[in-house]
Amino acid sequence: MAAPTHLDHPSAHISAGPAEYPHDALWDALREVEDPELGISVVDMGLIVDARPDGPDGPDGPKGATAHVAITYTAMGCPATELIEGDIHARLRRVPGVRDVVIEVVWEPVWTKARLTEDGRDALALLGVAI
Amino acid sequence: MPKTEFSAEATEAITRLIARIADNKYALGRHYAEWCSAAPTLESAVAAAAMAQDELGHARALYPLLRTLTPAAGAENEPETRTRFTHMAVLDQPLPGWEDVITANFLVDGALTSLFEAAVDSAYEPLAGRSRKVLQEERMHAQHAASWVRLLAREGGGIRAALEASLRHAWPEVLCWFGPEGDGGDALAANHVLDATPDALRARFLAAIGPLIEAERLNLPLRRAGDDTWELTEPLPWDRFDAETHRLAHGTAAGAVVIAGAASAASQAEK
Repeated sequence: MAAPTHLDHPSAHISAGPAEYPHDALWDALREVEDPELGISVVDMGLIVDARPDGPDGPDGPKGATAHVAITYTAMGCPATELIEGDIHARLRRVPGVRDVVIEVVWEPVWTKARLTEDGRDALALLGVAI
Repeated sequence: MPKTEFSAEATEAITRLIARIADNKYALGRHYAEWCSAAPTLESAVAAAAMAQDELGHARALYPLLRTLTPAAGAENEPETRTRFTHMAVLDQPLPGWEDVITANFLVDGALTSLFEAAVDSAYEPLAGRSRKVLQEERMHAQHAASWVRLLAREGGGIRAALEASLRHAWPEVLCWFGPEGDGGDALAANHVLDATPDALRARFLAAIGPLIEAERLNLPLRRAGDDTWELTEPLPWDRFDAETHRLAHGTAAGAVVIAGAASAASQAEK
């Protein structure tokens, strides 16, 4: 069976209002990774499309797991991609049970401001960015 | 949805398509970047920088597809080590004037956008996924092009003449770039990689740019043939068209352009 992808299991709630994302070990760890240009969490920015461990053990299981992250960017020419992906690698490898991290850059769904969380919108507003 | 399996012929056509889109995006990005500190206004310099970043980003998202399509090509799949580029010949050299930047923005980038519009539902899924994001970013580029075409055209005199000369220089190659006329056997359309034949793509492109050319009375070989249809009033120079690269010879061979520095480095490495 093919590994699940973000398209099989949409893991975010995107609607007309602020987006909401799951709370688990991986997502909460990702909330600590910031977009280096804005200082806003990559989750609040809506960059994380999916985050899940493979296999039945999950991040807290005895054998450990690979964390699969699907990420998109606000712009295809984003100059901070390597930095962000490096920070994600480093942070997720500190999640108990995670042995490896695989990051897939996806361009669907296309990033729009609808992917911002309420905290993300507030943070951008403080920076003077109109939403 | 299961992934589409392509024949060897279709895979070769897809490879050439991705290469020529990526090469054009890469060349556009480099040439826009040359104007980041030389544009006529501060705002347009910032726009040139933003567009350069976008174009290089689009290229960066496309080149990795070549690794999957032609893994044996090795270093030729990477923009940094690639020696044979298939961008349009009008992009071989730095764009000498601001009107040439606007021509590249309006015609070259516009043609690329028409192609991405035809790939939104592509059977080649990696292209479909990227197309929607590219089109989101290209909206600003199109607005920039139209605004500057209007501005330069309305300046009149030498500025308008320079714009028209630049547009006329790029015109035949951009229109040929979509592919040969009457090519009913086009592998890309037949395999639903693109949703139209080269003729239909060319017609869509003309429908997109025709109204502005008409409104500004720009002296280009184009006339309205119906509400949304346009026809060329001069034949395209197919004798100078290279079917493999979709480049047009401008006094030199139309085949892939060899970037001197990269070729020289590769040659030295072989020794």
